[in-house]
Amino acid sequence: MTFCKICGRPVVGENNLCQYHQDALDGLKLSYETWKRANGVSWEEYIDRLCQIDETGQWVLDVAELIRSGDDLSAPT
Amino acid sequence: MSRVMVITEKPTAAKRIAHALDENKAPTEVKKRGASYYDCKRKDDDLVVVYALGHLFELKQTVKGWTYPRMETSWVPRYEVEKKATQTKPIINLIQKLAKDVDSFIVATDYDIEGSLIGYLTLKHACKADPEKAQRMFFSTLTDTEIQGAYERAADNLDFPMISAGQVRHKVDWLYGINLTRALTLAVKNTTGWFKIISTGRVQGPTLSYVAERERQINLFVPEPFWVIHAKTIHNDMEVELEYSKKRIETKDEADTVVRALDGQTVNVKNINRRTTSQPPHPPFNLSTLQSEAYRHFGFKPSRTLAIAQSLYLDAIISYPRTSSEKLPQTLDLKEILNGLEQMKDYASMANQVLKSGNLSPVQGKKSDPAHPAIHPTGAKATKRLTPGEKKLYDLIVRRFLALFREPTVKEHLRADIAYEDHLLYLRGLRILKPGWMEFYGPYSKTNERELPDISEGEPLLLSSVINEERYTQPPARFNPASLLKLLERENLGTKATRARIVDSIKSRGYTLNDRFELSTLGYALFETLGKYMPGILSPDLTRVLEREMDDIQQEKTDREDVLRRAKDSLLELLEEFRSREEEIGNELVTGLQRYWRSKEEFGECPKCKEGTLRVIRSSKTGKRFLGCSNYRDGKCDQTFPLPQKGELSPLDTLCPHCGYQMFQVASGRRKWETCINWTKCPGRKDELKALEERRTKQKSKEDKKD
Repeated sequence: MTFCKICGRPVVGENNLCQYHQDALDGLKLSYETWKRANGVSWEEYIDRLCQIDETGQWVLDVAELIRSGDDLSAPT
Repeated sequence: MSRVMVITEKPTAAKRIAHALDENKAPTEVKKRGASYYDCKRKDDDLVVVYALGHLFELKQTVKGWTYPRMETSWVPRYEVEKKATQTKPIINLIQKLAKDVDSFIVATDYDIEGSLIGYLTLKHACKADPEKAQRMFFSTLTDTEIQGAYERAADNLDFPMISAGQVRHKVDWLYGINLTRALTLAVKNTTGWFKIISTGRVQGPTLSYVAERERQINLFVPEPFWVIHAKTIHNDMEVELEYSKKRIETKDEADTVVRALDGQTVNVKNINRRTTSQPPHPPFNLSTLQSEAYRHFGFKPSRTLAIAQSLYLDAIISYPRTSSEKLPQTLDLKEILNGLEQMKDYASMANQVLKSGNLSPVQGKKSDPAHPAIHPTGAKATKRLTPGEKKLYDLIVRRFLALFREPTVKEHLRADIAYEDHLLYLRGLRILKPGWMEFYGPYSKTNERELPDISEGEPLLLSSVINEERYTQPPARFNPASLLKLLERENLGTKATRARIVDSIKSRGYTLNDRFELSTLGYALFETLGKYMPGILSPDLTRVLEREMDDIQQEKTDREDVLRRAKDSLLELLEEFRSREEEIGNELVTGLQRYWRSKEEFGECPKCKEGTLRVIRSSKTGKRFLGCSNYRDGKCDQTFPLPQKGELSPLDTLCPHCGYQMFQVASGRRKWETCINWTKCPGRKDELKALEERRTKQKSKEDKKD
């Protein structure tokens, strides 16, 4: 069994993330559309901004920080 | 002449009831070996008023062994089940002895499921009397008049349907609580040998799942941006803020366009709208609304509000608090209550106004309770000095009661519509035209009055500043004790008497952190494991069905043995499934427990050896706690740090700005503070230590003065 690279829970899917962090990644990708429409930010800017906002959920923040550290959780096309 | 035993629920209630029933208002308290009773005389009867101490009898398994399943139970004295309940032994013995020399029995416990069951069990197991022959007193306040009336009109039968419902509730809660808790605890013990009680129960499981679901929403929350427009104008040398008609603008481009279009422009007041609204008083309190309001205004936890309300009830100054009713019945002597309040300095003027107005028809709410009216003051004066908490809650109850007789509050809402091309701005004002009931309920119903500037239709206004501000959507709020309690009530889980305890237990078991019900790692472990292997325990459906069946028993619509049999069957099925996967469940709980202990007891890397971990250790000699390096046992590192001996410790993720050591939080009672592990030597914490020393000296001198 492989474990989530963020929290050590069992992995689901292809990204080596647990269910919580996979859901966070899905939510993060989904909301990017709204952000892009709202202020035209790039994926990288978006991730940086999320890391600075207090309201960002902890699991979303974990995933955003992982992406910022260079992990390849591909951006939505 | 006959000798009658009156069974009450608590010593304070016994004293009140004895005082009310004795002809000379001077009952004799007879003390016998750690217990007592009251001798009273009433007409031709000799009354013996005895008291229970809440439940004197509890359920105990009949088959031995700390394992599961255990389905058969019997009622035994509480001291046999709870080691700490030693006070119940002399009370049971005394009741047993007195009952031998009594002609008849009257149950005068609180009129609710628990009260009725306490009376029944005391009669059956302590008095060894036939419950079919006992009488029942019904009352909602402990005032002399009501107690005397309840005695004169005592019913010839006990409230058996309520007693049956109470027995089933106790049995079902025992079966689920004991068996599931043992199953979880033994799963951990059989896997690793560790013994840590992991509790769950019929209502606790669904409550945990509500907290976990909210936590999930918060942790998965992705904030999204939106923009708001701030526009200002100067009117009569005063800066006035205007509200843009569109509260949220979805894109930055649109927000910038609005700013460019409006900034520096002269706009016109198109029209001024006036709207009058009338707001009637809030309905009388039931327990849930009282708990919610007391949390809002005083920060009282629901369990604290219930305890304070219970103490006010036992002093006969408010009615019985465990009620769902928002109605005051017509039979209630409102005039007498108001006359009583008129004698109290703080409420004299308000009570007098109500009496003079002649309107003695209070506003009523929607919810009703067949057993008790809404919570109201009795008008009687307190027999003791009220504590600050009691004073606050009493004031809230009295003011809410007095407000019920007042006319509605009339408010005038004003809105000036200010237009420029396609853009619309508002200027709002609010005036109280008639304070009505708010005059009485004032401290607890603040309205932000805002005068509308003296402007007229067609008047031009120069927009001195127009900017846009980027904001973000907010995650749902975490539960607080009052909102979690409200949710349980809305979902019909638990009863008005048990909900506050369940809310407390979620925290005291370590499943949540802080007062904001943030799920702990242990809470996650339990939620995830139950969700995977026993989802039924987390679902509110099972317990909701049981609650409905218990209501049906109370209304004599169903048979109690059938309900009990069905509950046992579904539990057995659940436990069988659990046992077949015990090892997997144990392993998952253990992982969660390890994370939990790490988060509570590990204070990061040892600053000396850089290899070990600092852990909370208790000295076997002194029992005092301190931080020690995990490499100590191997003889590699002897680093230690002293810890405060009182309060709950939580390591924090931050470092001390003065010395760079790890910070932690200490929570002792309601006081919380943060310090670093190097606190006794840290240069930045000298002031804290000085303040601590001063506090101690002050405290000592206070104590010396008292002596």
